Amino acid sequence: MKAPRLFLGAIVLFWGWQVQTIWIAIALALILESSHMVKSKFVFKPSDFNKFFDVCMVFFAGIIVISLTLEPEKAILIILKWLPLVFFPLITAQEFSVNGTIDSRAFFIVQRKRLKADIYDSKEIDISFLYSLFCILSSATANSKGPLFFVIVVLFFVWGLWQVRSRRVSFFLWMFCIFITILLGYVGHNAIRLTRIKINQWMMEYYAGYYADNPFKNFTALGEIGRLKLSDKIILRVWFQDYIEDKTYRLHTSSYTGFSKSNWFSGYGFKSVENGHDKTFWQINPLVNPRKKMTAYFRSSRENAVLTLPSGVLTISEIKALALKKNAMQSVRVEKIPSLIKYVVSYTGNLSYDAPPSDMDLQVPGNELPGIEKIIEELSLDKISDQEILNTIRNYFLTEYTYSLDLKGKQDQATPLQNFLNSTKSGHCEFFATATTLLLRKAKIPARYATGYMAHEYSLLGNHLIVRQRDAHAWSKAFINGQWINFDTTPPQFLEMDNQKVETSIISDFFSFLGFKLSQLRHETGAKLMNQYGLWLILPLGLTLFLRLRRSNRIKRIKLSGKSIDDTKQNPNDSPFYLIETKIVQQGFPRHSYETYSSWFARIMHHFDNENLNNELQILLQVHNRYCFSSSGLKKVEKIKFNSDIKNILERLIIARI
Amino acid sequence: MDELNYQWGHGIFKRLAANMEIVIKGQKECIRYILAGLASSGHILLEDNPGTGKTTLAKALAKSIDVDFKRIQFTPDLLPSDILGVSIFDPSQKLFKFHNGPVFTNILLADEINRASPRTQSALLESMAEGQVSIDGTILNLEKMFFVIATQNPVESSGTYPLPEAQMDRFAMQLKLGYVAREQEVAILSEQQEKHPIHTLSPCVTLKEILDLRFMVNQVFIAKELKLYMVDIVNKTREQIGISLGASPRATIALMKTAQALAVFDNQSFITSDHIQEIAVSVIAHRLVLDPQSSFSGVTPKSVVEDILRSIPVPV
Repeated sequence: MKAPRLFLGAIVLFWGWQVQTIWIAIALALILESSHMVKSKFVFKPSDFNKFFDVCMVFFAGIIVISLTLEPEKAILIILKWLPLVFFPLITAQEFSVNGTIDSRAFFIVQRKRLKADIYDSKEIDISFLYSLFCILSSATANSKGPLFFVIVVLFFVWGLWQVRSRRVSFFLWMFCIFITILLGYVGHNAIRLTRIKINQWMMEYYAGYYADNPFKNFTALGEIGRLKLSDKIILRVWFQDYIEDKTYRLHTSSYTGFSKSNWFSGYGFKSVENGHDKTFWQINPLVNPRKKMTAYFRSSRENAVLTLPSGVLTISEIKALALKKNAMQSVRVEKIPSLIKYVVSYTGNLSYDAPPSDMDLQVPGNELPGIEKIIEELSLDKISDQEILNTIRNYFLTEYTYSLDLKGKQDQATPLQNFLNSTKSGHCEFFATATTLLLRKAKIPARYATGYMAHEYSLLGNHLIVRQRDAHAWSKAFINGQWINFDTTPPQFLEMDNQKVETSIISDFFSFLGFKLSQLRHETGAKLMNQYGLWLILPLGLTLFLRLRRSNRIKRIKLSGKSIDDTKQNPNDSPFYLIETKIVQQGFPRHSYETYSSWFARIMHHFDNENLNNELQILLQVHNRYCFSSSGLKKVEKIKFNSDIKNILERLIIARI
Repeated sequence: MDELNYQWGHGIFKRLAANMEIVIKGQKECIRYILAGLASSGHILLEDNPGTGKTTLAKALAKSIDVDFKRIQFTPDLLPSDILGVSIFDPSQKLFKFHNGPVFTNILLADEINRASPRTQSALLESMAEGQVSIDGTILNLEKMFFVIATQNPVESSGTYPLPEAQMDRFAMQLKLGYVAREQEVAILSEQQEKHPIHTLSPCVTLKEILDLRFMVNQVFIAKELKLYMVDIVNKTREQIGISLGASPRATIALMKTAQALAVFDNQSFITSDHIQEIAVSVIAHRLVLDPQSSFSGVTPKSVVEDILRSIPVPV
């Protein structure tokens, strides 16, 4: 099944137009269509097609590697987009070959072995329609939503199918069937789309029951950080421009305002941040001086993540993400990220960008009130100034409470927090932070609960700070003298206590570092090299192909005199009976090459309208056989009669139409 | 030779076929092929289940021609001398005197040929291929018209010795009768109610007529592309995967000769590709030896030949 003339060229142009590489497409189309113009063709053996196919496969593998390193999140789109270019060598080889088809054995390794043995029947296939399909598939990646795309694709299908339609079916019936098919395709496609939208809506509604307006959790339960404390997994590597030895850096992830039933809730939704001139640069807050700089890497197995950031973020750059959102409490989340994320943050270090206090920041839930009020009275917090309150609270927790990861279990208290305040007086950062926040609120100082990490461990392996999971921490933010400050009441020795609690393993640290370096190599160095030199890879490949073809020395060029060189194989006879065959074949009844005329007629005879026609054909067939196969042939008179009989029957030869 | 003569050959065929059809019902095709074997100087092997009319068919043919007919019932203890003949000492003349075996005849029916030992089967070899036998160092010529119809039960039956490939190759064709249609079996019942119709059969063709027919068959013209086509078909059996032994050039010759005979039967002075396709399976299939692997996977020699026919473009 050969694609009609100009079909391939047109479809390649369509591809170029859709994916906006029209100049490449014009070149490809000209090369493909020139095969019809030039008078010389090449004799390719199946083993030569092997080589073309190998080259296509190497291109294919190359584009997979390049796309995965450069933009893994869009890899499939990139691969699809360049599919026509990848398989261009093969289709060109086919179009310029003498046969115009490719031996199916050229494609499969198993079949190639058979090719060597040369014992199996070959099957010649024409890949032009397959290639056209690739072009359409590829054009679809441009995702133009207009009806024009659909119309043009339909036109291509009609064009391609037109030449292989059954000649037994009348034109109008054929068009009608095509129309019905298109209609069904259109309606079906729309139905699928609408169903998908509907299902999406249901899913969103279902999730909305749990998570307000974003798929991220915006609450945290007391005890979550306590669980993280038990792991020494390295989750973040940071470089501070102004690094001072042995300093502990506080990195913020999220802040929460509402507290209820041992859970903290965030009261603010996330909003998209527009990125400016560069796809990797996001302006979070207006620029001010002085600025500090921090660089961080982390690996994520998910495609969305919340960034761990210092206070007062101004910009985030060098990050590969499709979208970035932030909320009023300076939490930042990124979407559609690769597995290794790098980001560079410039920041001020103070909390001036956090949302101003609201009523929510003063609320204390009723079931926690008794315990809180007791302490307020005990410390007489309602009678002193704001700054004194902070000092009193800090001293209170430092002297009366101990830090411990071992929770003593629930006593006879109403809530875990009451348990901590009244009975055990021992717990980890979450309890200190929650209690502090609620105490501040009751003392009429707006306060929030914040979570994040304390970066303090310096790694000699990479000369940077490493942040382990157990460095997770919680603290309070208090609004004093018109600005937010971080207020941490957890006893300062907690980091050392955590270190003792969970042994770090040098070996797993080393492997973690190795893994980090490898993925850095893949995502940064690899991508850069590919970006700069990727296209040059094609050069040695093309050279290899050329040399292999040259060395095999088997490709011959053949000047074509007529339409096809197969003509010589055919019966040199000029019997007019062949006209009858042509006419019947045109009406949709092809003859198998192994069928004799009589067995062919026997197979299709019941389609003839006219009974007598059969008999006449049989008589003419006998004359034809005598003409072709007998020693004497036909006499001149007989031949004239034969010719006129054939002419006569040709006019009446109409086979029943459906 | 002009058209008129072929008309005569066509007439002989019609006469013989009509005579045999008195006895053999519903086997038009098989009769046509047997006669093609006869007219092309070949030998025929009939293979089918017991009781399908193999022997009756052979006898009907023998009775329709006015020639000498002998029959050998092959058994496991049959000896070559039982076929070819034996020299016996004559005490009165004090000489060894040769007694002709049943092979000295015009039509020989070798019934259940695969029941005899391979040694005895091979005794027929020389006689079938060359029309002569050598006994005690002397060569004796057989009749000018020597036609063997052998019957055998399917090879899988118990107590049989499969014919060796060389012996199979001597047969121009192997035919299968198969079971007849319902109505025709009823007709067989009605006819044989009183007596077997074969007893009423009388000769309708003479020996000379058969020899003339054989001469005529040899004159049938074969176009060059058809010769190529036949060679292609047989050649392909030698290349086809799954076949350990393909067909011999003898097969190609047999294919040509039987096709020529069919052309005469169709009143034509030349063969067409239809004739070749019609007879190819019967002429070629029995000569092929399949790999054990392909036999186990359900491939039969017949299907192999049919596949080959479907893979070669036919000259039209």
